[in-house]
Amino acid sequence: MAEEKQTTGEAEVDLVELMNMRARTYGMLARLFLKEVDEATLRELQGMRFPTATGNDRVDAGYRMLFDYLRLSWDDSVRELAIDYVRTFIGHGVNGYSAAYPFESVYTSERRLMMQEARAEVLATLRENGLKRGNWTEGEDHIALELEFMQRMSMRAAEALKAGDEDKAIEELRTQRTFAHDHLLNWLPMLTADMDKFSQTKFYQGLGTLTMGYVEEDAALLEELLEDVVEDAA
Amino acid sequence: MPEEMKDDILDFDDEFDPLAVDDLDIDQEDMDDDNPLDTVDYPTMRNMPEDMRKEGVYTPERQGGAQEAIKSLMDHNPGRRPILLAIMQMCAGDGMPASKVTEEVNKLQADNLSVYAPMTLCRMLERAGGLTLEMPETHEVEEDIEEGVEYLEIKERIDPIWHTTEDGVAVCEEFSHAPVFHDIVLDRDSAYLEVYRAVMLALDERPRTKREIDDLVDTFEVVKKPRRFGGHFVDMLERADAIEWKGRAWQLTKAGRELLPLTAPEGEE
Repeated sequence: MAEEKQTTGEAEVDLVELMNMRARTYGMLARLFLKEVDEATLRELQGMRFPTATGNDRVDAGYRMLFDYLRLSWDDSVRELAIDYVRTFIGHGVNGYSAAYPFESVYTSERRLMMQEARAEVLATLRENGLKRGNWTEGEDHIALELEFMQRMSMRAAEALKAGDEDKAIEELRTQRTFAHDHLLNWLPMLTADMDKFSQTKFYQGLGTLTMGYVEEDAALLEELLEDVVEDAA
Repeated sequence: MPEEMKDDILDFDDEFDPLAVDDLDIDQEDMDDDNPLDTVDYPTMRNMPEDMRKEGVYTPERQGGAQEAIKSLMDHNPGRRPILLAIMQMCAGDGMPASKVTEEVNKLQADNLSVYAPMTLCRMLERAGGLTLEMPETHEVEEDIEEGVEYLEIKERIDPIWHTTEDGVAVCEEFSHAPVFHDIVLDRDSAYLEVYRAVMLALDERPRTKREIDDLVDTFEVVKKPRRFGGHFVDMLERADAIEWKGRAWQLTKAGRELLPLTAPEGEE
């Protein structure tokens, strides 16, 4: 990463733009998991472009499902999505298996409880990176917060690259790689499988598929970028 | 307190996990034994049959016909009755785009706020058989390519059309203000005709508060026994669309003005 532009295979990549794009995607995903889609968000989503051939089948399928839902969306879709959000992430029942619970602790603790080890680890990571939870009042291991963490780190990497501080950018990327492996990739397959099971709209099924595909793809990208750093250093 | 007892009390079950309780294991008989007063068998959501969860409250199947379902819906939502009727009236004929219905209903509810969004009211009418939704045809999906990246884009936003069904139109006709006014004011409540007239005349003069209507009604002997309060007359006149709540006071509507001469004593019409 001697320069902002790096050659990956044949194509020359603008790393600052790449980091900003990653931040935008993580930001969008975080927003969609955080709360129900409101009218303004629906309009914004309908104005998006949906890539069809990203090279990752899950990402393509996820975008396609979102597109198929959104192109037939109208005023009443906000209500339909609000119902599906509750059905998908909150559900009903007391057995711990009645929804796609958006907290890592539920999937990584033996008794499917919230506020377990995963939450403590995420909280520690946020603190290590100088991030506060703001007005968030629930567990920090919520999927929206984990995705937002990736967004913030991508933004920091972009800023560091822009300022010519390569070491800082590499550090941010390493933090992201560790976080993706230790947390996101650790429970996303289970969460997104449950989203597919509990949601009844293509929107939330698509969101699950897209998120799984994107995080996988992004982890591979981070791996590739950091591999180049090691090679450069060698 | 003996040590033995203290231990018993503080002996928490480490294995207990509230989230692990399976509602399939809940034994209703045990629950009934614990609380003999609780004799209701509440089905847990998970055990509830799928069709039961989705069934609407006011549907042609349940009420035995679309008109019955629509009327039942309005009966149980008296505050929304004028709005529900207005929706069916505006969607009769060629129908109306959903966005326009939303706009109109928001105007109608400006002085009569509701927890129901316009489209929720439409969905209620749809379930009752008063409305149908026509989804517009959408164009074939086209892929564009920019800077070598293929992507899909939503070129147009759809705006489905709400149509009033024949049953909806029939209910609108039945509920039009004139027959209802005849039925309530001139027939069932004809003993109070002079009171209705006084209230309508007062509202024709200027908007009045509920207190003012109460005071006016109380000046009539006929309301003393059996006791009738101002609220009764407000309810009946509102049901006939003769008055409406607007600007924090009751006002005579256009329909009310047209109906007012019907309350005049013989020879004065």
